[in-house]
Amino acid sequence: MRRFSHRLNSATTSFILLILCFSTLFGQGFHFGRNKVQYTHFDWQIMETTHFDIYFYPEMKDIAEIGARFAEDSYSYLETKFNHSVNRRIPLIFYSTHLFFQQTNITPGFIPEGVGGFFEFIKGRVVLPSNGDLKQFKRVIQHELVHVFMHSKINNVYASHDQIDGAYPPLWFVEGLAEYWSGAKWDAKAEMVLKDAVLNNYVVGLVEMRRIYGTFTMYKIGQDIVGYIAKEYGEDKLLKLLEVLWKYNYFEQCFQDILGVSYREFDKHYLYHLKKRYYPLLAREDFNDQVSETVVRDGYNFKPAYFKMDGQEYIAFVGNRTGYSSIFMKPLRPMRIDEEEEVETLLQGESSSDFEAFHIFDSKIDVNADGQLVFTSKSGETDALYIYDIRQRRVIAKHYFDRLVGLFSPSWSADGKEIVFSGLDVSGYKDIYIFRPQEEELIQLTDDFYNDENPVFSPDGNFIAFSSDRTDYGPQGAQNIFLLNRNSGDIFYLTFGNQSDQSPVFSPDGRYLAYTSDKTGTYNIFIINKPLQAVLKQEPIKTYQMTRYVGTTFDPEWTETGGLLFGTFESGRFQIRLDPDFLQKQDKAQIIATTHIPILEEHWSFAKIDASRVRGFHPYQRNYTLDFAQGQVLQDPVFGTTGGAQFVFTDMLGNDQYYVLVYNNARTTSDFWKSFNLGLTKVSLGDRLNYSYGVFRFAGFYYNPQDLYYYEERVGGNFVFSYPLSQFTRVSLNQSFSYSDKDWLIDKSRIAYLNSSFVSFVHDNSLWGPTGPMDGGRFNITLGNTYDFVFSRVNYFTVFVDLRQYFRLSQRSAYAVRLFTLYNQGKEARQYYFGGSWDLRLYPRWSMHGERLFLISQELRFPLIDLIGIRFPFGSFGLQGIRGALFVDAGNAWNDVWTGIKGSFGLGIRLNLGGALVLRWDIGRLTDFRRISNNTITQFFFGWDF
Amino acid sequence: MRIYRINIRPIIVNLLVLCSLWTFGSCAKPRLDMNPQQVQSVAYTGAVNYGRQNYIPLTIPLPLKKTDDRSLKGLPTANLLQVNGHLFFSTQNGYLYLMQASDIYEETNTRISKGGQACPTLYRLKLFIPSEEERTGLYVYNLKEGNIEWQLEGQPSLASPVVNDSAIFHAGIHGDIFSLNTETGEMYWHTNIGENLRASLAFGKGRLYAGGDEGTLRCINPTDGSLIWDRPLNAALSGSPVFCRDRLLAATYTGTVYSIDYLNGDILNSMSFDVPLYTQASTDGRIIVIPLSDGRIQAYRFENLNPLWSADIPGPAGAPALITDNCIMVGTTRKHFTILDRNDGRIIQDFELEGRPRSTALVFGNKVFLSYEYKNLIVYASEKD
Repeated sequence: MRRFSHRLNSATTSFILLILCFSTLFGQGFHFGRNKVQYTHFDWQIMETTHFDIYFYPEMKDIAEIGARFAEDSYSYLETKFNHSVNRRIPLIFYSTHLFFQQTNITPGFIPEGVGGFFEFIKGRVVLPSNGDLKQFKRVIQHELVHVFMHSKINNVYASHDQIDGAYPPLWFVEGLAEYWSGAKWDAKAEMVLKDAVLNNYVVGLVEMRRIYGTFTMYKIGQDIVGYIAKEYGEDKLLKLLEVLWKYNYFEQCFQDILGVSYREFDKHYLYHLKKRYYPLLAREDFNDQVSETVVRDGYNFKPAYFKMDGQEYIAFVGNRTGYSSIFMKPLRPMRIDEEEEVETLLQGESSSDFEAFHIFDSKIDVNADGQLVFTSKSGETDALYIYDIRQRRVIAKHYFDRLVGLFSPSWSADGKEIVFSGLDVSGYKDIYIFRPQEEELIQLTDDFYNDENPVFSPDGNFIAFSSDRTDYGPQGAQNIFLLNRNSGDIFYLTFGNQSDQSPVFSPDGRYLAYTSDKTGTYNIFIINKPLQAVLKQEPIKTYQMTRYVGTTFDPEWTETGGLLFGTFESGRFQIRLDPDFLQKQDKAQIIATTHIPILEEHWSFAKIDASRVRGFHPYQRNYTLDFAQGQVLQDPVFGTTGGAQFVFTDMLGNDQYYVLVYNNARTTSDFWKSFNLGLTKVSLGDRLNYSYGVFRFAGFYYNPQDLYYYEERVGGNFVFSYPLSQFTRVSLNQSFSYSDKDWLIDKSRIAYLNSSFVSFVHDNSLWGPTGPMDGGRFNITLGNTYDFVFSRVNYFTVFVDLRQYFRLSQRSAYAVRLFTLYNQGKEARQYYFGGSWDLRLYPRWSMHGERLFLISQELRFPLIDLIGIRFPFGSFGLQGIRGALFVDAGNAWNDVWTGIKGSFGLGIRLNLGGALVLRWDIGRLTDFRRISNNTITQFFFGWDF
Repeated sequence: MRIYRINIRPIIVNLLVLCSLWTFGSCAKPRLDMNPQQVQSVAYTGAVNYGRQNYIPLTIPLPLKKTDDRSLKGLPTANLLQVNGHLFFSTQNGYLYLMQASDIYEETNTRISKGGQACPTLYRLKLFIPSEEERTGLYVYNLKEGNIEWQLEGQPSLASPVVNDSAIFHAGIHGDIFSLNTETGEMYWHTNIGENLRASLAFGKGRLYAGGDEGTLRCINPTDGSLIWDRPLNAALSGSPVFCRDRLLAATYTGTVYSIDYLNGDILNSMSFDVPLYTQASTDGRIIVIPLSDGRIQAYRFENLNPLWSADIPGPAGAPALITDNCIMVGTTRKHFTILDRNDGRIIQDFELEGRPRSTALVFGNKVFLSYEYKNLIVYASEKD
């Protein structure tokens, strides 16, 4: 037998699997998975300040110097808060935009749009983008540094007491404290979440916090609880909670020690306090659903765009209703409370390279009188501006702009010839641009570091209203509405104050400008009467507060008849609602200002770091430090003792990774070198073309059902190249050469020099639920050849095809189908093993083998139990997301002669354990599709659904 | 002249210590109401358990140089003790160390408890070692016999006990104060102040002073545990109250330092800072030294809290500053040990360490001892030696 690849004994397998787990490239090169595409080459530089090593690239040097100032100021502040100094240099890795940030290799996972930054524990790195908003940049830096200080403080507490671990704060406290000490004021979004939870009776306290684990609501309730503790018990208690962690196994014990109350007792007071805080609001404010009409209800829905087509009124909007962020449309017609929604998906995002992300929280869409929808989406390295013809249901134009990385909130001029939008350039500054699609001409209107957002044309096209932090209150976090005269370039205040004014939009006749503002603590809708006239004639500006909603409102949009569409958050849902008589309520509305608004004169700016706090600049050089080390000893009754270790070294940016594997399975001292195993692999992820190369020597005694016991030594090297065509598709090439000396211990042996070449084409746009994919599809087609280039003892080719498709039946149920075949043909072709929970279910694991195999799996996936709580005298725990499955499998493995089809069918239950592991239990019967076995078989296994 | 200076100082200090011990050992009722200078000397050399001033009436022979650095089995608690040429301290993971102070030769170490942050109190060759263990809050260790004489069940403590005559006053974390027989552990009285106690009690003018976790300073009669007066200060106290002359100093987390009349609890003076305070003030009865959490250290006149000087040191203080007759010594969380001129706050010397200093400096003879993270003891001596 001269097989290059074969089954390894258990120790070897576990080592290899562990190595594969830590190799992103290998993870991408084999089977499935999306690609983190390195579109951009960054020329990394390092700025050394008093406490930080700040990584940046030349295009964003200004922002890096401002960020350095933020970081040093935060350090001083947090040093006093924690009564602790972090005495190591803190690596702070800056990106100018979120799209660049998503390319980082410091974490192997994909970074969702909502993630503003992260702290990584192994090297203590903080990674974050500025993304055009310096105030947010400052806040996120401080938020992440709270994590750095907390981590260091806790380790210090453990170490001071000679411990390596102890109780650890739960996520609500970790994130709550980070928010509380990040300088983030209790803003309207936080208020929105907590108020809605209290008034709609889904707020939870500490006892039930696991029910909202990891959600934005949990972050905000955590922040509020931390603030409540500081106010009611003293801020010093927050620190003392950390200082007693060494004493206890659970954080609740620390809580009881420092605050003197259990979680349950605390909840009793805290939840009552919330009711006292929010219930009085109902005396003067209304729920949206009592005073406006429902237009879109289910899922997450934002940014309504009103348009008429063939005399019929419609809205287009962005949202996430199925797991993919998409653009939808529906006729503008109020719904009854129990009515099914008739929503058409115009464009599905996050499943193709054209529409990778629609920025549903940040970017408006707009439709002109010709029914052309303008929107932006990430497509490749940067965002693209799209124009979509709604009648034809097709994209008619796609535009990229040099140096503009992010594109946000495009809006048509009234004549449909120009588009104004907010553009984020490579330096990290967000400015206003006008684009003329016909001429393909781009005009930049503002050019500064202020955060200019949500621009809209006035109906005459001469003015642009937008929100910006260029107000005098900007350093305090405020955004006001401004008016830009596009002919003169002059900018005027339209609103003025220490509040967040957002999303201006002119009424069709230009008489009113509607916007949302948190001036009253939560976002309500305001209008300005005759805004252009007031500015041009320098008259007092009349502003009316038009709504007093309990729920927060976003993204106002006028209808043709003076009605107003808007987004709202109420009862835990992001809905779109309509007030058809909006303007008629002006008479009853409260005028909140009729004053002259100051002329915009002096600009503020954030200071850069003092030169005295900068030690120097130098280019980034790769220094490798240990990320991971693990030793392992296995005792096997047949193979004896096996021991070894593995190490992973990476550079600071995670672009280069070295994997070292050493182990030995010798049974006697004389066998030491004969059973010495070594693997060295370098993986490079810094460029779009990912590659790895390595050398190995694997030697030892092995077993498999066909060869039984044998000794084999393999020495060789391999190369892997992987080129992502997009986030969803890649081509991989795997080439290896090896020397193989195999001895079957029964007077049979062979030597071979093997060359193996494989090429793979992989696609994956699947959408995952708690136990496996629920939508989309994925496939892996691999072709390869293995031959002995010295003795010609081996020569076979391999075809591997794995196709999986998932059809969404409802929000949480899906039909999944898998077609899988492996085909080997040639001299000494490889045997594959088959059967078990991962392929042909209910059959004993690897009970079949052959050079060829074939499998069709079908499965109906559905929710079974959402939450089950189990209470014991000593405590309680809950299990969430228990899923059910009905399955039918058919397939077999064979060599030269087809031995007939085998099958199984049954019922399965899947339980996600902590997000990392899925416990699967299948029960059913075997069949050959002529008869059904009498035995009912059950199988337990861990693993995700196919 | 130089030889004379080298030899005479330790002898004088040793004599002082021996006299103190003799006083403690021979008097049936030690006179705690002795004059402040004596109290300070005794408190620092034999027991840190009375005024908590962190003052030693010695002139330090500056400049200093590092002479030794020893690795230990744990991080020493905030105050080191020395008596008769021996250095004692406990570690936060529960070890008790006894060293020869002249060359920090490690004589013995033994693990007494699971650990605690407060330092032991020395009295009549007994060490009263507080513990944060839930099951045992106090160990009484006989230094002569080398064994534990008795222990207090429950009542974990973050406070160094006060020992007065035949009674020891033990403060439990949850606000319980016990008066116990030093020899047997028999309870004389018990009271609960109604809030957590995370700092040591102070003792002066025959009264106990307790600063609670919710911000009330209380004066307690040591004979029966009755409350003499209380003074709400509206924020948790940082460190223990400091007794000196006829008043108490109390620092709060929210950044206010109060000067309080010991007789009735009236606030005589106060001053506020814009940053939290984590360590108690230090005083010699003439100046008050306050380390702020932002890396400043400031001195005020004891009588009226008028400012004297302010200095920036390399990082926030990690433990209370030590006042001597010619300098201020303070370790910072940024791994510096800094010596300032007590008259104007000028930095005389600054040492960078390999870890964060975690104790108030101990001066013995011409040596200065300091613990730093995680398990080290460093020794400085005069450069002229």
